[in-house]
Amino acid sequence: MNKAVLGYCHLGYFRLGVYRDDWDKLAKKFSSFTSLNVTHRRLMLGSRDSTTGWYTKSYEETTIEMIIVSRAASHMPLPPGVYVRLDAVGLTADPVYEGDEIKTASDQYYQVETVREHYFGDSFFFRECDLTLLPFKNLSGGTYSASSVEDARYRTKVYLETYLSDTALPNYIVAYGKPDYPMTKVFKTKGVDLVFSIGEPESTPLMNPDYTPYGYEEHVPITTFCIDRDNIEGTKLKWQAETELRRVLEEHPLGSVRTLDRRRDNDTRLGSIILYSTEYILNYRRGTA
Amino acid sequence: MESEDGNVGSFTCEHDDYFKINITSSSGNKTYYIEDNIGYVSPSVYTTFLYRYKTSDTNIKAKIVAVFASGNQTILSETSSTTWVKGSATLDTDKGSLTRIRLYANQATGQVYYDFVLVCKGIFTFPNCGYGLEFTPPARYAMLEIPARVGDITQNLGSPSATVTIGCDLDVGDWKRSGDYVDGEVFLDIAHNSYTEPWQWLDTGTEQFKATLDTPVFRREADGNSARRILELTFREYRRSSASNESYVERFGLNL
Repeated sequence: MNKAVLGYCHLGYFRLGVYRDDWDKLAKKFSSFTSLNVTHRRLMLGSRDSTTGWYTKSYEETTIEMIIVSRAASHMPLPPGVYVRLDAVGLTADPVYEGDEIKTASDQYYQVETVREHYFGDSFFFRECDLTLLPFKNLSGGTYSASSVEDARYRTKVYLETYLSDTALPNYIVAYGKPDYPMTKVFKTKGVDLVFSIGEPESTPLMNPDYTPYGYEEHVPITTFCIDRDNIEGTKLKWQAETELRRVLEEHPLGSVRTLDRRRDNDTRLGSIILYSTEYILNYRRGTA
Repeated sequence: MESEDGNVGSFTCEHDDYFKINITSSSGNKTYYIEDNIGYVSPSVYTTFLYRYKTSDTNIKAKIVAVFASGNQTILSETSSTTWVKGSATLDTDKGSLTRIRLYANQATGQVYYDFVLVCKGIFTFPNCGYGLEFTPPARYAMLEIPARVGDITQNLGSPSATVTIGCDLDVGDWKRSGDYVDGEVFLDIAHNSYTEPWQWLDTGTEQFKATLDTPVFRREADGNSARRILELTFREYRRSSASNESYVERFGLNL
């Protein structure tokens, strides 16, 4: 019964009566080699960065128990069905989410890439986390001032944020590429329905007769991302995003002269969910400044 | 009006084209200048001063001074060059209207030549020549056809005025001056006011000379999924006298 109460407090959703002590047995086996205590750095998303458009990251630290088996130690007896897929695998009974970080006692940092929950029948056993090593964590470098030449992604972001309609699309954001944290976190925790993601451009210089470039022709990929919600059909929202993008380009083609080149469907099925996505290529020509 | 203070000489207009100040004796303060009243020119509107000069040797010095309603500005300090030199300056705006210009010949005997002094609204730098630039200094060979002759008689009739054609990409870069309504408006200004402005100074990056703007053409092209705004300009060499008075290097400003 003590185990049951401990389990309830520890796991948050453990149901009394179905608790099994498999995790304790597993932890006990590994604790004879090493301490299982690690620092769990839970990813929290703050306000949006004014340049990239993505949410700034912060971490909330707690101590948890996790068995970390690196690829080099994969001869260790792991539970059935558990493999070291990436740099290491982490086994824990504590809540851990994709994008979180794990700091070991020896100051090694891992990022949690995926989390799979293992059950025996309807009773929870442990979480299996694929971990990638972060070799450059906490490295610092020189101080650089931002370039005075604007990033093609930033120019496009400002353009879209200026003209996209909040009425047509109430909960959207415009941001650079893909964030360095799971997109699902944005949909789940930030109340965002739609993301206009601006990728890295392809650039070709425009040349003067004296061999100096006077500008660049840039092909900027804009990808929309959305999901189904209780009251939103993702496929409809995706089309609404496209019509809004077309309207902006039809009504505001000037400045840097912009044209939409092509669209490519990019829907992705991720297990039980569909990430609705379309990639558009926006062409524009700009000066060198 | 001329003023002599130690330097004694005279000025003439050579080849109906440029000023020549000839100093025949030099003593005392060794200063000579000519000046002309140009009315009241606002340096806030006409902001830029361009000039081109050369000297017969390095002893005699050229110098240019702008005289305002309340004060002077030295545009070119005493200097010499035996080849043509072009320069520019921004006029002071805190001395009232520009009223006179003084051209000097100081320090020694000899000659100072002033090709032009030009007070203008500014220098417009082409943001690009994205659709190319052609400089054409043509020859004028007459081909005389003679009945029953096999082949023509050719006769060289001299070198006609050079032309420069430029294709500009109006979609890239800032083609508006402050207060302009449309891209490339400066060329409408030049074309419209060409009846009072005999020439513009054209610098292609390789050649420099006086030129008139012949044919500005604003083209708006559309082709399928692309559209372009192109400005095509044709400039023609301007001169009051035969270029035979100059070398080809001087004529086309190749060394400026």
